[in-house]
Amino acid sequence: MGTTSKLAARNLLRSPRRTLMTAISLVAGVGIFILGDGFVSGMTENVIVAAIDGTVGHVQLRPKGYPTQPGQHPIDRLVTLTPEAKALLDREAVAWTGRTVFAPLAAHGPDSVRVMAVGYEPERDVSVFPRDLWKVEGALPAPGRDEVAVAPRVARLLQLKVGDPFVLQVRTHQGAINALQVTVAGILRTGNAELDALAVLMPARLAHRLIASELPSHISVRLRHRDDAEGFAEKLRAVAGPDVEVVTWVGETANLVHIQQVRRKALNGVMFILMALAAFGVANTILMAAHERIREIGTLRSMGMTERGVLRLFVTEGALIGLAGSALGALWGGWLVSYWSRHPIDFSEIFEKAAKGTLNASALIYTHFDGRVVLASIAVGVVVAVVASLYPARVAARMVPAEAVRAP
Amino acid sequence: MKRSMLVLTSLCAALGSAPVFAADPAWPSATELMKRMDQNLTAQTRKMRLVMTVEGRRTRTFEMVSYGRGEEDAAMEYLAPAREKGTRMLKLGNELWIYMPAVDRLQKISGHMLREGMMGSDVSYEDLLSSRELLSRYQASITGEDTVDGRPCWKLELKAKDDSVTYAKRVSCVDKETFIPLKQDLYAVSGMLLKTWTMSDVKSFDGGRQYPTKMTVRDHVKKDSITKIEFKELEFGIDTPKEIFSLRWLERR
Repeated sequence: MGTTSKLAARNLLRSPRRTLMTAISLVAGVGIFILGDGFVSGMTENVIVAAIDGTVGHVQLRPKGYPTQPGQHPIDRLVTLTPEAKALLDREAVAWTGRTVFAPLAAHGPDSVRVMAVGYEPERDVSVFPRDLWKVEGALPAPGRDEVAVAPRVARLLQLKVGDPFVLQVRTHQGAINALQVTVAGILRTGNAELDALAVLMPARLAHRLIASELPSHISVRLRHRDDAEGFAEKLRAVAGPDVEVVTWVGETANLVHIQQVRRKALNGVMFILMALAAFGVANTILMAAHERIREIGTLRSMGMTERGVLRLFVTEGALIGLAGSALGALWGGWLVSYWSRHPIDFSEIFEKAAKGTLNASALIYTHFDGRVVLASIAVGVVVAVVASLYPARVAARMVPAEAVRAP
Repeated sequence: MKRSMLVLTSLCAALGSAPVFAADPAWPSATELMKRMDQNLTAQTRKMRLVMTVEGRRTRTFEMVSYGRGEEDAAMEYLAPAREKGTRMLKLGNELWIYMPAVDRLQKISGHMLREGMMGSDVSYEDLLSSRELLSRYQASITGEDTVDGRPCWKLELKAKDDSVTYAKRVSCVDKETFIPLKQDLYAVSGMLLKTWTMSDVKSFDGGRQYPTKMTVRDHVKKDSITKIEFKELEFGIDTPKEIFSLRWLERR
């Protein structure tokens, strides 16, 4: 086998340009697949993490029939915890917090925009919604003062700077119009596309004054593991009361995760096409090599190499092209995926412009590096190359030695 | 402090003066004023053709015809501009549907959207399409007299009877002759002034009804935003065809 491999390697190096061209198609196929898979897996994870860390938590309680369309945040019904639900949360959740989400009109001078206001409990919120990715220009609003933090897009649309006053106008929980002048304490980028496009964050006390109620519209729960969400939600549903619905990050991200699955299928399709092209290239290269080396094959056969030996030689050549191409592709794709898995790509501006707050996903896209995908891609590349080289190898192996030696 | 209060009280008693805002016996009662305002401004059935001009960064003009039934039901159709022509709205109770012929689409607007400014104006769907009586929703007191554009009026302060009333407080100047609120300041729960609504060019209609044919709404939250409404045609107590208040009417061509 060692001799066959050496012979195959030497044969490939006889036409380095042709070998390289053939390998490039495999580099592209494997590399693009690893990159695509890294992005799709990363996006799926980003969608999940954005929901868990930005707006939902692991489990969430909200008024029954709460609208799911973007931009709809009614406060005519709010959440009251039953004593049993509160006891369950205190006993089994790592942390839980109430948020009051509503949709006031924010007005500054002649400009106005409908925003997504989030009233949070200053001390409890951070234990459910981590702030690792938060970047604040200025400061977070101080409790007890009429201060808010605004999303970058809101600041841009209303031409707001830190320290500027503006008016929030909202319907109270009961239905009357309320309005307060608030001051921009900071411009906040949370890393969540929905919040960064539309949010005005404020301590709960200010939100309660605006909506004239101290009840939250949502209660979000953090558990030890996100996989515990469905089981805990079942328990919570049993004690939460009839006016409240209990949702989990799984249900809240289902639509976006489904889109990622569709993308994955599309990616598999692209991979199939690229691999088919690569296979065609490998088959063509091996076939050309076989025809160019007819006399050599004849000599080898005359010297005692069996049909099987010739077949093995050409298949090994295909396998080596496959291995080299796939390994290079895996190195290129894997390195990029690995790099972006540690250094996210910031899509904030694109998300702000394109989605305008309708996308509950992180604007910082981390790719997902999976060593198994890299190894599997190399294996697929090699198998494709081997399978593609079978036919030309058989053509070479079946040449009659005497005719092959006499060939021009 | 106690001493100065005592002096002030003694002085008032000595002079026999009444507190500044005590009602003058010659003044009408606040309830009477509200009744007269309601008689003028609300109608069981009504038809209006109006032109609404929204002044802001750019000025836009809309012309529409509207039909009203009771306090909450109303139907409206845009006649101009060409882009909006044929757009119809139907409000039944707290629900609102909009039909846009350009995209042949019927859309139901949720409750809180009723409070949004109509076509970017300072007038909400609720403001324009509802015809609610003040008497059932507000407690009022007359706080003095004033003049608006040279017309003498009663200064009336209205406070919402419950927390669900749209404007927590209104301060109106009610024309002494026509009982039309020539100027109304509308306040938020917090006490912030939201809008100033003025009415003018009052005309007489059958049954002694007085109704303004011009209104101006100035939004104090959005600076430099003014909406002007001019009623070109007004009919009250008419027989409005039943089919107008149905979803079928919305999509009818």
